[in-house]
Amino acid sequence: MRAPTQRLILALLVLVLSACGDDSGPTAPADATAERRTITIGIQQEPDNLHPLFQEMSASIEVGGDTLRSGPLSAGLTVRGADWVLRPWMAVEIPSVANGQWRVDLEKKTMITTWHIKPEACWEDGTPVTAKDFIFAWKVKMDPNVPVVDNSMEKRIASMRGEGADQKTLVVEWNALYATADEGLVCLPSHVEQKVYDQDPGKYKESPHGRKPLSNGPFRLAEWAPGSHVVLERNPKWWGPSVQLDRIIFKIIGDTNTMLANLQAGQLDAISPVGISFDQALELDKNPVAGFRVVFTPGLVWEHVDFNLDNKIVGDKRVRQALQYATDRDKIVGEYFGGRQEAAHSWLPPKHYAHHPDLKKYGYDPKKAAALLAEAGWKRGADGTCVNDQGERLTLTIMSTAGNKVRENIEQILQAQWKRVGVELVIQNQEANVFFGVTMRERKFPHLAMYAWSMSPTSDGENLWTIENIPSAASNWVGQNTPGWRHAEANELDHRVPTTMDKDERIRLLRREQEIWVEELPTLLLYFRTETTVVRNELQGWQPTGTDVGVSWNCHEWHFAK
Amino acid sequence: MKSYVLRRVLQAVVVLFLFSVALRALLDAMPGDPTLMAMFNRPNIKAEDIARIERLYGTRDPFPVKYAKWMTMVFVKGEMGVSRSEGGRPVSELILEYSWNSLQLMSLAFALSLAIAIPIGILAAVRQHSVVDYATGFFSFLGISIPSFWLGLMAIYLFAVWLQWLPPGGMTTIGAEGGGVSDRLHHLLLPVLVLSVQTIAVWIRYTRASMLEVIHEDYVRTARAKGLGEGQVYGKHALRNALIPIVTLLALSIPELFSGALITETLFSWPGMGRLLYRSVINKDHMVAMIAFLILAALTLVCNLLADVLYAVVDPRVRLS
Repeated sequence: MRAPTQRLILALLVLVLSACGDDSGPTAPADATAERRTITIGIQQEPDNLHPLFQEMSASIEVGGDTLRSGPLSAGLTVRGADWVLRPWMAVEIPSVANGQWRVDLEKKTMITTWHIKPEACWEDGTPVTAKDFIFAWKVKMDPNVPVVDNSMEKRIASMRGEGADQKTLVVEWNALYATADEGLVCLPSHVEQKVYDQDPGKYKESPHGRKPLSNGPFRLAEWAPGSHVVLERNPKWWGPSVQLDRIIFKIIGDTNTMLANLQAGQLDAISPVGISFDQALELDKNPVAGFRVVFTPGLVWEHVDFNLDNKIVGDKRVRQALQYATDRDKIVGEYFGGRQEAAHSWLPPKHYAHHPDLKKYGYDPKKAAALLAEAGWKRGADGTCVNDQGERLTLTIMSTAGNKVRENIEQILQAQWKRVGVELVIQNQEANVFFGVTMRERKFPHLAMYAWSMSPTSDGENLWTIENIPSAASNWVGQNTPGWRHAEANELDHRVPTTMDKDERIRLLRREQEIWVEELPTLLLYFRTETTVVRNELQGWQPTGTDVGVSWNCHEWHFAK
Repeated sequence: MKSYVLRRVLQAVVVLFLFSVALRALLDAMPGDPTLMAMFNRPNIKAEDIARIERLYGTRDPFPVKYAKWMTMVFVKGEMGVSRSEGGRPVSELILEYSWNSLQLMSLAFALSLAIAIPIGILAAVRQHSVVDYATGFFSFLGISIPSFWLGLMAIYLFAVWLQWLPPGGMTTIGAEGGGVSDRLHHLLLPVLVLSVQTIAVWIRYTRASMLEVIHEDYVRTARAKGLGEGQVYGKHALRNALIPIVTLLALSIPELFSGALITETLFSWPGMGRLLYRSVINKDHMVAMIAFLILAALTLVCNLLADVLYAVVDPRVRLS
């Protein structure tokens, strides 16, 4: 019996060894000099799709980018980098009223924007990027048979046409006023994709572009080993400023502890924003790995706690303000986050163009909190928890995403802090799909819900705070006003901002709106999340944005100092 | 025997059908939808957009319609569909690739475990109540009790971070030319060792128990009374019989070779079936989950049958009818 067992083992070994034979490893050579021209970045998620119309995960933006958020495989008409300033990228100039490329008809409420695409801009096969590529992408996004999640910008476009013999001029006619029409538009290599789309528009999501996109950015895709790594190499047809590195390798490491072990073992040059947890970054900052630095970048992700304003307890403004006064955010930010996150004083981040420097600020003040609660009819009961005249206890339920360690800890901190003013907090968390897909969408949280909104440098409050955007069964639960805030003046202001063409006027409107908002407090203010990355000290040009634009937006500038 | 096998195959088809209905129903019963979740974070989504996406994905279809659509796609059109979250890749391609990766990892760990566990198990049984037996018992229970995520992390820190002998994960050295066999084995070593620790411990216990049962049988005593040497008594008379239940267990372990090991694969960044299965369920990637679980269920049924048939082959006392 022993002989057959040995044979079985041998056979299995042979099987495995033969498997290793067809090694599909990367093809580019590696020598001593090539080493410093390659960067290896650890990333926790695998991109879901590299097709700009269908990608959902931030890992896809980090690895590839899309034509609205430029990255290694994708250059847009514009790029918004680490300083959040919009600059032309594939476009010669950004359309503006001043340069005559943005014409607005305030009476008819229509606009025309004209883009001149750089003559040298081309795809990795050498085909020039033309107006056709933008028109094709727009038509695909508007096709009801293609499962594009968000085509809200495209719906505002009445028509698009190319001009000039080389079709390098793109004229866009808008059927509505749209304040951020200068951000850019999506484009796709129509000379390749048109055929794929024509075969079966219903199956266009399966286009090979999702796995092997044709690049118009500084790099092109060399290899994507599913679940393992993605290798990008320099795009030989790149038309922009010179590229310093030869290759970018994204190593997919699902476990964050393994990610750190890879860093310590010298296997990585950097960790992507989609990498380690904030706790780990803080720990790494305190006990650094030799040769690496942790980069903290103020971001746009706004962590907050929604009040369900339909509930009679938190529907009372005094209770909301009391809870805000009872929240010691300096402690949370200073001690729990090591001073690395930014306390929020409004729903707009400090780097937003309409930031209001003189807003009312809620410092930690338990006495004021108790007084406001008392005014609202809540007095301390025998066991320390507040009760009202009907003998009801002041017990609130907070919900959030289960398994998110930071949020779970913040909930416990709130629980302890609020207990001091007589508020009992019950924690009830759910798996993310259920929490966002059902509970939040349908406003099924009893009192409080903790989560984050990803804002953008041009965010306005129309979707967040207008009455029309309170999710309801009638609207198929669409809208982001999950607290259910109804304020006539703020509603009017929030509706006016997106169609106000004058930036100064928009700032004025948004600042007034924030004054009302901070007083009414439909949401408990917490903090703005800081983006954390880790990078080798010698790497130059590493500039995380803190926005939804990936850290790889300026990968052409990355290089190792000698 | 033929009619027995045929009957079992027919039974398996019925079981698979019922399994697929139950599986689809369970997957559907999971609350939350990834597309709706993605839409929650999109500021400009309107009701008509949700209606459009729900229509395209058939989210609102009643269960029998959904199931019938899936059956038609697989069994009439012969398509396995495409993944919703893995780069829109065809399900067949995904499963082939990930199960092949798992097979490499798991079969090596399996082979290593058997090569170590069976001789040790036999030795522990033969030398029952000796130091060897107690030591084996101690280490087996230790192996069974150590959680693999902890052991894996410790192994990574020891061999990859501290000693820097082995890579901390991955399947190949990315970017190095001529990776090939030695490079793959280099990457396999740590996860295989971590996986083996537990399986070695389990198989030692199986082998020891099976052997102990046999060496007290009459025919072993008879063999010894006949004047046969210890080698022949254990090797020919005891071991052959002791291995009968082991063969069954071996056959039943085959599906594990393809289903992978979630924790070890995650720790070592090994793109195997364990991770694919987990992701497909978490991301509600029903196309991938349905086919992957069905294949594993079919494999389990086939291996069950194989175990029964093998039992009849190795044990002349068993007759299938």
